[in-house]
Amino acid sequence: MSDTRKTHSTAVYGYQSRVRRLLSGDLTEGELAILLLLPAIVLIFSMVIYPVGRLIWLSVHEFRLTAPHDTPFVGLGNYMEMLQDDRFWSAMRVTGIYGVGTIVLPAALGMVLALVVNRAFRGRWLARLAVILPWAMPHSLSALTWSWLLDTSQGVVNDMLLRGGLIESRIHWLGEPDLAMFSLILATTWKTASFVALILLAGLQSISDEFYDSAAVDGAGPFQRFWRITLPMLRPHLLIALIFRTIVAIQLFDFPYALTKGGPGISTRPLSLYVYRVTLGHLNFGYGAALAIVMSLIIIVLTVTYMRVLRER
Amino acid sequence: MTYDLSRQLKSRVNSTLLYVLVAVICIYSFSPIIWLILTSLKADPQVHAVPVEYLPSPPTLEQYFAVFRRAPFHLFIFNSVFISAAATVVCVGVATLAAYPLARLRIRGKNVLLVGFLLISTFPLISMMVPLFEIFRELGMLNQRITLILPYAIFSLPISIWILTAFFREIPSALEDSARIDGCSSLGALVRVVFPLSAPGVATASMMAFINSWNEFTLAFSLITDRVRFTLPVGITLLRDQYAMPWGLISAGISIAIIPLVFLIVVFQKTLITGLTKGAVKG
Repeated sequence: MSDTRKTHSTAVYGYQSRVRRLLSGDLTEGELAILLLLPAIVLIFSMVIYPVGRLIWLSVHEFRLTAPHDTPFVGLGNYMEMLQDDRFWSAMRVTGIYGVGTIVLPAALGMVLALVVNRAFRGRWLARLAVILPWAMPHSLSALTWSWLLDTSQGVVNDMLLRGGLIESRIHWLGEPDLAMFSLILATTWKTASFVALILLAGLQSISDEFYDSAAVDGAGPFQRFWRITLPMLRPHLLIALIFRTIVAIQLFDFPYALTKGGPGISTRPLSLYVYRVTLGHLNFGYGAALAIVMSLIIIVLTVTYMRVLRER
Repeated sequence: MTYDLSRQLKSRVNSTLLYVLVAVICIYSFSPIIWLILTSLKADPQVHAVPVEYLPSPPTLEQYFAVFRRAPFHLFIFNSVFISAAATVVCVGVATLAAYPLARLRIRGKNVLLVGFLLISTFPLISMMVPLFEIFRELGMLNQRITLILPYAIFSLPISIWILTAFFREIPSALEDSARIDGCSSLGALVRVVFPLSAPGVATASMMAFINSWNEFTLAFSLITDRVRFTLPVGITLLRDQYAMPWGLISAGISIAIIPLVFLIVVFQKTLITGLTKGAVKG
Protein backbone atom coordinates (compact mmCIF):
# COMPACT_ATOMS: atom_id res chain seq x y z
CA MET A 1 0.00 0.00 0.00
CA SER A 2 2.59 2.49 1.03
CA ASP A 3 4.74 1.27 -1.81
CA THR A 4 2.05 2.08 -4.35
CA ARG A 5 1.60 5.55 -2.95
CA LYS A 6 5.29 6.18 -3.08
CA THR A 7 5.56 5.10 -6.69
CA HIS A 8 2.54 7.21 -7.53
CA SER A 9 3.93 10.33 -5.92
CA THR A 10 7.29 9.86 -7.63
CA ALA A 11 5.48 9.55 -10.93
CA VAL A 12 3.55 12.74 -10.28
CA TYR A 13 6.65 14.51 -9.17
CA GLY A 14 8.55 13.26 -12.24
CA TYR A 15 5.72 14.38 -14.47
CA GLN A 16 5.58 17.85 -12.93
CA SER A 17 9.30 18.40 -13.14
CA ARG A 18 9.26 17.24 -16.70
CA VAL A 19 6.55 19.74 -17.60
CA ARG A 20 8.53 22.46 -15.85
CA ARG A 21 11.64 21.45 -17.74
CA LEU A 22 9.75 21.35 -21.05
CA LEU A 23 8.27 24.79 -20.45
CA SER A 24 11.69 26.26 -19.74
CA GLY A 25 12.79 24.95 -23.15
CA ASP A 26 15.44 22.65 -21.73
CA LEU A 27 14.88 19.29 -23.37
CA THR A 28 16.75 16.06 -23.68
CA GLU A 29 17.93 15.23 -27.19
CA GLY A 30 15.24 12.64 -27.75
CA GLU A 31 12.45 14.97 -26.67
CA LEU A 32 13.79 17.79 -28.80
CA ALA A 33 14.02 15.46 -31.79
CA ILE A 34 10.43 14.29 -31.43
CA LEU A 35 9.15 17.82 -30.92
CA LEU A 36 10.95 19.11 -33.99
CA LEU A 37 10.06 16.17 -36.22
CA LEU A 38 6.41 16.14 -35.19
CA PRO A 39 5.08 18.76 -37.64
CA ALA A 40 6.78 17.07 -40.60
CA ILE A 41 5.49 13.67 -39.59
CA VAL A 42 1.92 14.89 -39.04
CA LEU A 43 1.93 16.71 -42.38
CA ILE A 44 3.32 13.74 -44.23
CA PHE A 45 0.94 11.34 -42.56
CA SER A 46 -2.13 13.37 -43.44
CA MET A 47 -1.14 14.29 -46.98
CA VAL A 48 0.89 11.26 -48.09
CA ILE A 49 0.52 8.14 -45.94
CA TYR A 50 -3.25 8.37 -45.67
CA PRO A 51 -3.77 9.14 -49.38
CA VAL A 52 -1.47 6.27 -50.39
CA GLY A 53 -3.42 3.89 -48.13
CA ARG A 54 -6.67 5.16 -49.57
CA LEU A 55 -5.28 4.72 -53.08
CA ILE A 56 -4.42 1.10 -52.37
CA TRP A 57 -7.90 0.54 -50.93
CA LEU A 58 -9.54 2.10 -53.99
CA SER A 59 -7.44 0.01 -56.34
CA VAL A 60 -8.91 -3.25 -55.02
CA HIS A 61 -12.50 -2.04 -55.13
CA GLU A 62 -14.97 -1.23 -57.82
CA PHE A 63 -15.54 2.43 -57.13
CA ARG A 64 -17.30 4.81 -59.46
CA LEU A 65 -18.26 8.26 -58.40
CA THR A 66 -21.51 7.72 -60.29
CA ALA A 67 -22.41 4.96 -57.77
CA PRO A 68 -20.53 5.89 -54.61
CA HIS A 69 -22.38 3.50 -52.27
CA ASP A 70 -22.00 0.40 -54.36
CA THR A 71 -18.33 -0.47 -53.92
CA PRO A 72 -17.73 -4.23 -54.03
CA PHE A 73 -14.30 -5.65 -53.27
CA VAL A 74 -12.79 -6.89 -56.51
CA GLY A 75 -9.35 -8.00 -55.36
CA LEU A 76 -6.90 -7.69 -58.18
CA GLY A 77 -9.73 -7.24 -60.66
CA ASN A 78 -8.72 -3.72 -61.61
CA TYR A 79 -5.16 -4.87 -62.20
CA MET A 80 -6.34 -7.79 -64.33
CA GLU A 81 -8.48 -5.40 -66.33
CA MET A 82 -5.33 -3.45 -67.12
CA LEU A 83 -3.74 -6.48 -68.81
CA GLN A 84 -6.59 -6.58 -71.31
CA ASP A 85 -6.82 -2.85 -71.76
CA ASP A 86 -5.28 -1.76 -75.08
CA ARG A 87 -5.40 1.87 -74.01
CA PHE A 88 -3.33 1.06 -70.95
CA TRP A 89 -0.66 -0.64 -73.07
CA SER A 90 -0.66 2.24 -75.49
CA ALA A 91 -0.19 4.61 -72.54
CA MET A 92 2.66 2.43 -71.23
CA ARG A 93 4.36 2.53 -74.62
CA VAL A 94 4.00 6.32 -74.86
CA THR A 95 5.28 6.77 -71.28
CA GLY A 96 8.23 4.53 -72.13
CA ILE A 97 9.25 6.39 -75.29
CA TYR A 98 8.53 9.79 -73.80
CA GLY A 99 10.28 8.84 -70.56
CA VAL A 100 13.48 7.64 -72.22
CA GLY A 101 13.54 10.65 -74.54
CA THR A 102 12.97 13.22 -71.82
CA ILE A 103 15.46 11.66 -69.43
CA VAL A 104 18.34 10.99 -71.84
CA LEU A 105 18.19 14.15 -73.94
CA PRO A 106 17.85 16.60 -71.03
CA ALA A 107 20.61 14.78 -69.14
CA ALA A 108 23.03 15.07 -72.07
CA LEU A 109 22.09 18.63 -72.92
CA GLY A 110 22.05 19.64 -69.25
CA MET A 111 25.61 18.37 -68.90
CA VAL A 112 26.76 20.53 -71.82
CA LEU A 113 24.95 23.59 -70.47
CA ALA A 114 26.44 23.13 -67.01
CA LEU A 115 29.98 22.66 -68.33
CA VAL A 116 29.76 25.86 -70.40
CA VAL A 117 28.32 28.17 -67.75
CA ASN A 118 30.68 26.78 -65.11
CA ARG A 119 33.56 28.52 -66.96
CA ALA A 120 34.50 32.04 -65.97
CA PHE A 121 33.70 34.69 -68.60
CA ARG A 122 32.22 38.15 -68.88
CA GLY A 123 28.45 38.25 -68.85
CA ARG A 124 28.23 34.87 -67.20
CA TRP A 125 25.20 35.91 -65.14
CA LEU A 126 23.21 36.32 -68.35
CA ALA A 127 24.24 32.88 -69.60
CA ARG A 128 23.35 31.42 -66.21
CA LEU A 129 19.97 33.13 -66.34
CA ALA A 130 19.50 31.55 -69.78
CA VAL A 131 20.33 28.15 -68.35
CA ILE A 132 18.20 28.42 -65.21
CA LEU A 133 15.14 30.28 -66.54
CA PRO A 134 13.46 27.34 -68.32
CA TRP A 135 13.67 25.39 -65.05
CA ALA A 136 11.84 28.15 -63.21
CA MET A 137 9.16 28.53 -65.87
CA PRO A 138 5.94 26.66 -65.15
CA HIS A 139 5.65 23.39 -67.07
CA SER A 140 2.13 24.25 -68.13
CA LEU A 141 3.04 27.68 -69.46
CA SER A 142 6.18 26.47 -71.24
CA ALA A 143 4.03 23.82 -72.86
CA LEU A 144 1.51 26.44 -73.91
CA THR A 145 4.33 28.57 -75.32
CA TRP A 146 5.60 25.66 -77.39
CA SER A 147 2.18 24.92 -78.78
CA TRP A 148 2.17 28.53 -80.00
CA LEU A 149 5.66 28.24 -81.52
CA LEU A 150 4.77 24.97 -83.26
CA ASP A 151 1.34 26.04 -84.48
CA THR A 152 0.94 24.84 -88.06
CA SER A 153 -0.33 28.00 -89.74
CA GLN A 154 0.65 30.84 -87.40
CA GLY A 155 3.64 29.30 -85.65
CA VAL A 156 7.01 30.97 -85.89
CA VAL A 157 8.91 27.69 -86.31
CA ASN A 158 7.19 26.83 -89.58
CA ASP A 159 7.48 30.43 -90.73
CA MET A 160 11.23 30.52 -90.16
CA LEU A 161 11.79 27.17 -91.85
CA LEU A 162 9.71 28.33 -94.84
CA ARG A 163 11.56 31.62 -95.14
CA GLY A 164 14.87 29.85 -94.79
CA GLY A 165 13.83 27.55 -97.64
CA LEU A 166 14.35 24.47 -95.45
CA ILE A 167 10.83 23.18 -95.97
CA GLU A 168 8.43 23.57 -98.89
CA SER A 169 5.13 23.30 -97.07
CA ARG A 170 4.02 23.75 -93.50
CA ILE A 171 4.71 20.87 -91.15
CA HIS A 172 1.98 19.57 -88.83
CA TRP A 173 4.29 19.32 -85.84
CA LEU A 174 1.60 18.08 -83.51
CA GLY A 175 -0.73 16.51 -86.02
CA GLU A 176 0.94 13.19 -86.92
CA PRO A 177 1.66 10.48 -84.34
CA ASP A 178 5.44 10.10 -84.67
CA LEU A 179 6.10 13.74 -85.37
CA ALA A 180 3.90 14.77 -82.43
CA MET A 181 5.91 12.53 -80.12
CA PHE A 182 9.14 13.99 -81.48
CA SER A 183 7.92 17.57 -80.96
CA LEU A 184 6.69 16.70 -77.48
CA ILE A 185 10.10 15.32 -76.51
CA LEU A 186 11.99 18.30 -77.95
CA ALA A 187 9.74 20.85 -76.25
CA THR A 188 10.02 19.02 -72.92
CA THR A 189 13.78 18.86 -73.32
CA TRP A 190 13.95 22.65 -73.68
CA LYS A 191 12.19 22.99 -70.34
CA THR A 192 13.85 20.20 -68.38
CA ALA A 193 17.52 20.20 -69.46
CA SER A 194 17.65 23.33 -67.35
CA PHE A 195 16.99 21.45 -64.12
CA VAL A 196 19.73 18.91 -64.85
CA ALA A 197 22.10 21.77 -65.69
CA LEU A 198 21.32 23.53 -62.41
CA ILE A 199 22.03 20.47 -60.29
CA LEU A 200 25.19 19.58 -62.26
CA LEU A 201 26.39 23.18 -62.09
CA ALA A 202 26.10 23.00 -58.31
CA GLY A 203 28.08 19.76 -58.51
CA LEU A 204 30.81 21.25 -60.70
CA GLN A 205 31.26 24.05 -58.18
CA SER A 206 32.10 21.52 -55.51
CA ILE A 207 34.97 19.93 -57.47
CA SER A 208 38.23 21.41 -56.27
CA ASP A 209 40.58 22.93 -58.88
CA GLU A 210 43.44 20.90 -57.45
CA PHE A 211 42.20 17.79 -59.23
CA TYR A 212 42.35 19.56 -62.58
CA ASP A 213 45.74 21.11 -61.81
CA SER A 214 47.33 17.79 -61.05
CA ALA A 215 45.66 16.25 -64.11
CA ALA A 216 47.09 19.07 -66.23
CA VAL A 217 50.55 18.34 -64.84
CA ASP A 218 50.09 14.73 -65.87
CA GLY A 219 49.25 15.99 -69.36
CA ALA A 220 45.61 14.94 -69.45
CA GLY A 221 43.59 16.43 -72.32
CA PRO A 222 40.13 17.95 -71.92
CA PHE A 223 38.30 14.72 -72.75
CA GLN A 224 40.41 12.68 -70.38
CA ARG A 225 39.82 15.26 -67.67
CA PHE A 226 36.08 15.00 -68.27
CA TRP A 227 36.01 11.18 -68.13
CA ARG A 228 38.53 10.74 -65.33
CA ILE A 229 37.65 13.62 -62.99
CA THR A 230 34.45 15.49 -63.81
CA LEU A 231 32.15 12.58 -64.48
CA PRO A 232 33.15 10.44 -61.46
CA MET A 233 33.04 13.44 -59.13
CA LEU A 234 29.61 14.39 -60.45
CA ARG A 235 28.19 10.95 -59.76
CA PRO A 236 26.07 11.97 -56.73
CA HIS A 237 24.70 15.00 -58.55
CA LEU A 238 23.96 12.99 -61.65
CA LEU A 239 22.12 10.52 -59.45
CA ILE A 240 20.00 13.24 -57.91
CA ALA A 241 19.27 14.88 -61.26
CA LEU A 242 18.29 11.53 -62.79
CA ILE A 243 16.04 10.58 -59.88
CA PHE A 244 14.12 13.83 -59.90
CA ARG A 245 14.03 13.93 -63.71
CA THR A 246 12.59 10.41 -63.81
CA ILE A 247 9.95 11.18 -61.20
CA VAL A 248 8.81 14.16 -63.23
CA ALA A 249 9.14 12.52 -66.66
CA ILE A 250 7.01 9.49 -65.78
CA GLN A 251 4.24 11.55 -64.25
CA LEU A 252 4.43 14.58 -66.52
CA PHE A 253 1.00 15.87 -67.35
CA ASP A 254 1.30 19.48 -68.44
CA PHE A 255 3.29 19.08 -71.66
CA PRO A 256 1.17 16.34 -73.28
CA TYR A 257 -1.98 18.04 -72.00
CA ALA A 258 -1.16 21.43 -73.49
CA LEU A 259 0.63 20.30 -76.65
CA THR A 260 -1.29 17.30 -77.99
CA LYS A 261 -4.03 16.38 -75.49
CA GLY A 262 -2.68 12.87 -76.10
CA GLY A 263 -3.52 13.04 -79.78
CA PRO A 264 -3.79 12.47 -82.60
CA GLY A 265 -6.08 9.76 -81.26
CA ILE A 266 -4.30 8.38 -78.25
CA SER A 267 -0.93 8.14 -79.97
CA THR A 268 0.83 10.49 -77.53
CA ARG A 269 -1.26 9.85 -74.42
CA PRO A 270 1.00 8.83 -71.52
CA LEU A 271 -0.11 7.11 -68.30
CA SER A 272 -0.57 10.40 -66.46
CA LEU A 273 -3.14 11.64 -68.98
CA TYR A 274 -4.84 8.25 -69.02
CA VAL A 275 -5.11 8.24 -65.21
CA TYR A 276 -6.61 11.71 -65.42
CA ARG A 277 -9.08 10.65 -68.11
CA VAL A 278 -10.20 7.50 -66.27
CA THR A 279 -10.46 9.27 -62.93
CA LEU A 280 -11.90 12.69 -63.59
CA GLY A 281 -13.33 11.94 -67.04
CA HIS A 282 -15.01 8.57 -66.50
CA LEU A 283 -15.15 9.02 -62.68
CA ASN A 284 -13.90 5.45 -62.36
CA PHE A 285 -11.86 5.94 -59.20
CA GLY A 286 -11.08 2.27 -58.61
CA TYR A 287 -9.47 1.63 -61.97
CA GLY A 288 -7.82 5.05 -61.89
CA ALA A 289 -6.25 4.23 -58.53
CA ALA A 290 -4.89 0.92 -59.84
CA LEU A 291 -3.35 2.75 -62.80
CA ALA A 292 -1.86 5.35 -60.47
CA ILE A 293 -0.31 2.65 -58.31
CA VAL A 294 1.29 0.99 -61.32
CA MET A 295 2.72 4.38 -62.25
CA SER A 296 4.13 4.88 -58.73
CA LEU A 297 5.65 1.41 -58.80
CA ILE A 298 7.42 2.14 -62.08
CA ILE A 299 8.93 5.28 -60.56
CA ILE A 300 9.99 3.51 -57.37
CA VAL A 301 11.61 0.64 -59.27
CA LEU A 302 13.53 3.08 -61.49
CA THR A 303 14.63 5.19 -58.53
CA VAL A 304 15.93 2.19 -56.62
CA THR A 305 17.73 0.94 -59.74
CA TYR A 306 19.52 4.27 -60.18
CA MET A 307 20.55 4.24 -56.55
CA ARG A 308 21.99 0.75 -56.94
CA VAL A 309 23.83 1.48 -60.15
CA LEU A 310 25.18 4.95 -59.33
CA ARG A 311 25.79 4.61 -55.60
CA GLU A 312 27.90 1.49 -55.79
CA ARG A 313 31.59 1.71 -56.70
CA MET B 1 58.49 32.52 -78.77
CA THR B 2 56.66 30.35 -81.27
CA TYR B 3 55.40 28.33 -78.34
CA ASP B 4 54.00 31.45 -76.70
CA LEU B 5 52.39 32.55 -79.91
CA SER B 6 50.69 29.25 -80.57
CA ARG B 7 49.51 29.17 -77.02
CA GLN B 8 48.07 32.64 -77.30
CA LEU B 9 46.37 31.65 -80.48
CA LYS B 10 44.98 28.57 -78.84
CA SER B 11 43.51 30.48 -75.91
CA ARG B 12 42.07 33.03 -78.35
CA VAL B 13 40.40 30.23 -80.30
CA ASN B 14 39.19 28.68 -77.07
CA SER B 15 37.60 31.83 -75.78
CA THR B 16 35.98 32.55 -79.13
CA LEU B 17 34.58 29.05 -79.15
CA LEU B 18 33.28 29.56 -75.62
CA TYR B 19 31.50 32.77 -76.61
CA VAL B 20 29.98 31.12 -79.66
CA LEU B 21 28.65 28.34 -77.41
CA VAL B 22 27.33 30.87 -74.92
CA ALA B 23 25.59 32.77 -77.69
CA VAL B 24 23.98 29.57 -78.96
CA ILE B 25 22.81 28.71 -75.44
CA CYS B 26 21.35 32.16 -74.88
CA ILE B 27 19.51 32.15 -78.22
CA TYR B 28 18.24 28.63 -77.59
CA SER B 29 16.98 29.37 -74.08
CA PHE B 30 15.69 32.88 -74.52
CA SER B 31 14.09 32.75 -77.95
CA PRO B 32 10.78 31.16 -76.88
CA ILE B 33 10.51 33.75 -74.13
CA ILE B 34 11.50 36.63 -76.40
CA TRP B 35 8.88 35.46 -78.86
CA LEU B 36 6.26 35.55 -76.09
CA ILE B 37 7.21 39.09 -75.18
CA LEU B 38 7.16 40.22 -78.82
CA THR B 39 3.75 38.61 -79.28
CA SER B 40 2.42 40.25 -76.14
CA LEU B 41 3.32 43.68 -77.55
CA LYS B 42 1.39 43.24 -80.80
CA ALA B 43 -2.20 44.16 -81.58
CA ASP B 44 -4.52 41.26 -82.37
CA PRO B 45 -4.47 41.33 -86.20
CA GLN B 46 -0.68 41.35 -86.16
CA VAL B 47 -0.53 38.46 -83.67
CA HIS B 48 -2.37 36.16 -86.04
CA ALA B 49 -0.86 37.47 -89.28
CA VAL B 50 0.23 34.90 -91.87
CA PRO B 51 3.06 35.02 -92.89
CA VAL B 52 4.33 35.89 -89.44
CA GLU B 53 5.20 39.53 -88.72
CA TYR B 54 8.17 39.50 -86.44
CA LEU B 55 8.36 42.90 -84.81
CA PRO B 56 5.39 44.62 -83.18
CA SER B 57 4.54 47.73 -85.18
CA PRO B 58 3.60 49.81 -83.40
CA PRO B 59 4.29 48.17 -80.03
CA THR B 60 1.25 48.34 -77.78
CA LEU B 61 0.36 47.35 -74.25
CA GLU B 62 -3.21 46.60 -75.34
CA GLN B 63 -2.88 42.84 -74.63
CA TYR B 64 -1.79 43.54 -71.06
CA PHE B 65 -4.84 45.72 -70.42
CA ALA B 66 -7.11 43.27 -72.21
CA VAL B 67 -5.98 40.32 -70.09
CA PHE B 68 -7.22 42.11 -66.97
CA ARG B 69 -10.50 43.00 -68.67
CA ARG B 70 -11.10 39.53 -70.07
CA ALA B 71 -10.42 37.56 -66.89
CA PRO B 72 -10.11 38.32 -63.16
CA PHE B 73 -6.38 38.37 -63.73
CA HIS B 74 -5.63 40.45 -60.63
CA LEU B 75 -7.25 37.63 -58.62
CA PHE B 76 -5.12 35.00 -60.36
CA ILE B 77 -2.04 36.98 -59.35
CA PHE B 78 -3.30 37.37 -55.79
CA ASN B 79 -4.16 33.66 -55.51
CA SER B 80 -0.77 32.59 -56.83
CA VAL B 81 1.15 34.95 -54.55
CA PHE B 82 -0.92 34.03 -51.50
CA ILE B 83 -0.84 30.26 -52.00
CA SER B 84 2.84 30.10 -52.98
CA ALA B 85 3.94 32.32 -50.11
CA ALA B 86 1.89 30.40 -47.55
CA ALA B 87 3.07 27.03 -48.85
CA THR B 88 6.68 28.23 -48.78
CA VAL B 89 6.39 29.40 -45.18
CA VAL B 90 4.76 26.15 -44.03
CA CYS B 91 7.18 23.98 -45.99
CA VAL B 92 10.40 25.70 -45.00
CA GLY B 93 9.25 26.15 -41.40
CA VAL B 94 8.45 22.48 -40.99
CA ALA B 95 11.55 21.42 -42.94
CA THR B 96 13.84 23.57 -40.81
CA LEU B 97 12.49 22.02 -37.63
CA ALA B 98 12.77 18.50 -38.99
CA ALA B 99 16.20 18.92 -40.56
CA TYR B 100 17.87 19.90 -37.31
CA PRO B 101 17.41 16.63 -35.41
CA LEU B 102 18.17 14.71 -38.60
CA ALA B 103 21.47 16.51 -39.02
CA ARG B 104 22.56 16.85 -35.44
CA LEU B 105 21.01 14.75 -32.77
CA ARG B 106 22.02 11.21 -32.01
CA ILE B 107 18.69 9.51 -32.39
CA ARG B 108 17.77 6.05 -33.54
CA GLY B 109 16.09 5.51 -36.87
CA LYS B 110 17.52 8.74 -38.28
CA ASN B 111 18.57 7.27 -41.60
CA VAL B 112 15.29 5.45 -42.00
CA LEU B 113 13.52 8.79 -41.63
CA LEU B 114 15.83 10.53 -44.12
CA VAL B 115 15.30 7.86 -46.77
CA GLY B 116 11.58 7.86 -45.94
CA PHE B 117 11.37 11.58 -46.61
CA LEU B 118 13.11 11.08 -49.94
CA LEU B 119 10.81 8.24 -50.99
CA ILE B 120 7.79 10.45 -50.47
CA SER B 121 8.70 12.47 -53.50
CA THR B 122 8.54 9.37 -55.68
CA PHE B 123 4.78 9.23 -55.29
CA PRO B 124 3.44 10.95 -58.35
CA LEU B 125 1.21 13.92 -57.83
CA ILE B 126 -1.28 12.63 -60.32
CA SER B 127 -1.75 9.43 -58.32
CA MET B 128 -2.42 11.42 -55.15
CA MET B 129 -5.07 13.41 -56.91
CA VAL B 130 -8.00 11.10 -56.17
CA PRO B 131 -7.39 10.63 -52.42
CA LEU B 132 -6.63 14.34 -52.01
CA PHE B 133 -9.77 15.16 -53.95
CA GLU B 134 -11.75 12.95 -51.56
CA ILE B 135 -10.12 14.31 -48.41
CA PHE B 136 -10.83 17.86 -49.41
CA ARG B 137 -14.36 17.01 -50.48
CA GLU B 138 -14.99 15.42 -47.06
CA LEU B 139 -13.58 18.49 -45.36
CA GLY B 140 -15.70 20.71 -47.58
CA MET B 141 -12.53 22.34 -48.80
CA LEU B 142 -12.75 21.81 -52.54
CA ASN B 143 -12.54 25.02 -54.46
CA GLN B 144 -10.81 27.11 -51.83
CA ARG B 145 -7.51 28.88 -51.85
CA ILE B 146 -6.24 27.31 -48.65
CA THR B 147 -6.84 23.83 -50.05
CA LEU B 148 -3.70 23.98 -52.15
CA ILE B 149 -1.37 25.22 -49.42
CA LEU B 150 -0.77 21.96 -47.56
CA PRO B 151 -0.28 19.71 -50.60
CA TYR B 152 2.13 22.26 -52.11
CA ALA B 153 4.03 22.46 -48.85
CA ILE B 154 4.37 18.67 -48.83
CA PHE B 155 5.63 18.43 -52.39
CA SER B 156 8.62 20.63 -51.65
CA LEU B 157 9.19 19.17 -48.20
CA PRO B 158 11.62 16.37 -49.18
CA ILE B 159 13.98 18.61 -51.14
CA SER B 160 13.82 21.31 -48.44
CA ILE B 161 14.58 18.87 -45.63
CA TRP B 162 17.40 17.53 -47.68
CA ILE B 163 19.03 20.90 -48.42
CA LEU B 164 18.63 22.09 -44.83
CA THR B 165 19.97 18.89 -43.28
CA ALA B 166 23.14 19.38 -45.30
CA PHE B 167 23.41 22.98 -44.09
CA PHE B 168 22.96 22.13 -40.43
CA ARG B 169 25.69 19.55 -40.66
CA GLU B 170 28.14 22.22 -41.75
CA ILE B 171 27.60 24.44 -38.72
CA PRO B 172 30.23 23.57 -36.08
CA SER B 173 28.56 22.20 -32.97
CA ALA B 174 31.12 24.06 -30.86
CA LEU B 175 29.08 27.20 -31.51
CA GLU B 176 26.01 25.61 -30.01
CA ASP B 177 27.95 24.22 -27.07
CA SER B 178 29.28 27.65 -26.18
CA ALA B 179 25.75 29.08 -26.39
CA ARG B 180 24.65 26.37 -23.97
CA ILE B 181 27.47 27.26 -21.60
CA ASP B 182 26.43 30.92 -21.77
CA GLY B 183 23.07 29.81 -20.40
CA CYS B 184 20.96 29.19 -23.51
CA SER B 185 18.45 26.34 -23.36
CA SER B 186 18.67 23.68 -26.08
CA LEU B 187 15.77 25.33 -27.89
CA GLY B 188 17.33 28.75 -27.37
CA ALA B 189 20.63 27.62 -28.88
CA LEU B 190 18.73 26.37 -31.89
CA VAL B 191 16.82 29.60 -32.45
CA ARG B 192 19.67 32.02 -31.73
CA VAL B 193 22.66 30.23 -33.20
CA VAL B 194 21.79 27.53 -35.67
CA PHE B 195 18.92 29.12 -37.60
CA PRO B 196 20.65 32.44 -38.37
CA LEU B 197 23.76 30.62 -39.62
CA SER B 198 21.77 28.51 -42.01
CA ALA B 199 20.17 31.50 -43.77
CA PRO B 200 21.56 30.61 -47.25
CA GLY B 201 20.12 27.11 -46.94
CA VAL B 202 16.78 28.54 -45.89
CA ALA B 203 16.89 30.92 -48.87
CA THR B 204 17.60 28.11 -51.33
CA ALA B 205 14.89 25.87 -49.89
CA SER B 206 12.42 28.77 -49.92
CA MET B 207 13.17 29.53 -53.53
CA MET B 208 12.66 25.91 -54.51
CA ALA B 209 9.39 25.73 -52.58
CA PHE B 210 8.12 29.02 -53.95
CA ILE B 211 8.90 28.19 -57.57
CA ASN B 212 7.40 24.70 -57.27
CA SER B 213 4.19 26.12 -55.82
CA TRP B 214 4.03 29.04 -58.24
CA ASN B 215 4.28 26.63 -61.16
CA GLU B 216 2.04 23.76 -60.09
CA PHE B 217 -0.78 23.07 -62.51
CA THR B 218 -2.24 19.57 -62.22
CA LEU B 219 -3.62 19.77 -58.70
CA ALA B 220 -4.81 23.35 -59.00
CA PHE B 221 -6.54 22.38 -62.22
CA SER B 222 -8.29 19.39 -60.57
CA LEU B 223 -9.25 20.79 -57.18
CA ILE B 224 -10.25 24.32 -58.10
CA THR B 225 -13.10 24.92 -60.51
CA ASP B 226 -14.19 28.36 -59.42
CA ARG B 227 -12.68 30.93 -61.76
CA VAL B 228 -11.98 33.60 -59.15
CA ARG B 229 -9.83 31.10 -57.23
CA PHE B 230 -7.64 29.98 -60.14
CA THR B 231 -3.89 30.30 -59.84
CA LEU B 232 -1.92 31.90 -62.69
CA PRO B 233 -0.98 28.70 -64.59
CA VAL B 234 -4.59 27.48 -64.60
CA GLY B 235 -6.05 30.92 -65.28
CA ILE B 236 -3.75 31.48 -68.25
CA THR B 237 -4.30 28.01 -69.70
CA LEU B 238 -8.04 28.56 -69.58
CA LEU B 239 -7.92 31.95 -71.28
CA ARG B 240 -8.69 30.15 -74.53
CA ASP B 241 -12.08 30.77 -75.94
CA GLN B 242 -14.14 28.32 -77.92
CA TYR B 243 -13.04 29.26 -81.38
CA ALA B 244 -9.40 30.24 -81.34
CA MET B 245 -6.48 30.58 -79.00
CA PRO B 246 -6.09 34.25 -78.05
CA TRP B 247 -2.30 34.08 -78.29
CA GLY B 248 -1.83 37.79 -77.65
CA LEU B 249 -3.63 37.55 -74.31
CA ILE B 250 -1.91 34.29 -73.39
CA SER B 251 1.52 35.74 -74.18
CA ALA B 252 0.80 38.78 -72.05
CA GLY B 253 -0.42 36.53 -69.22
CA ILE B 254 2.65 34.31 -69.33
CA SER B 255 4.97 37.31 -69.45
CA ILE B 256 3.34 38.62 -66.26
CA ALA B 257 3.57 35.21 -64.59
CA ILE B 258 7.30 34.82 -65.20
CA ILE B 259 8.36 38.30 -64.02
CA PRO B 260 8.79 37.22 -60.38
CA LEU B 261 10.73 34.14 -61.51
CA VAL B 262 13.21 36.17 -63.56
CA PHE B 263 13.59 38.55 -60.63
CA LEU B 264 14.23 35.70 -58.17
CA ILE B 265 16.84 34.08 -60.38
CA VAL B 266 18.72 37.28 -61.16
CA VAL B 267 18.87 38.28 -57.50
CA PHE B 268 19.43 34.89 -55.87
CA GLN B 269 21.43 33.10 -58.58
CA LYS B 270 24.54 32.72 -56.42
CA THR B 271 22.68 31.72 -53.27
CA LEU B 272 20.72 29.13 -55.20
CA ILE B 273 23.80 27.51 -56.73
CA THR B 274 25.79 27.50 -53.47
CA GLY B 275 22.77 26.24 -51.57
CA LEU B 276 22.41 23.35 -53.97
CA THR B 277 26.15 22.68 -53.95
CA LYS B 278 26.05 21.96 -50.23
CA GLY B 279 22.66 20.29 -50.29
CA ALA B 280 23.46 17.83 -53.03
CA VAL B 281 26.86 16.65 -51.85
CA LYS B 282 25.68 15.51 -48.48
CA GLY B 283 22.38 14.12 -49.73
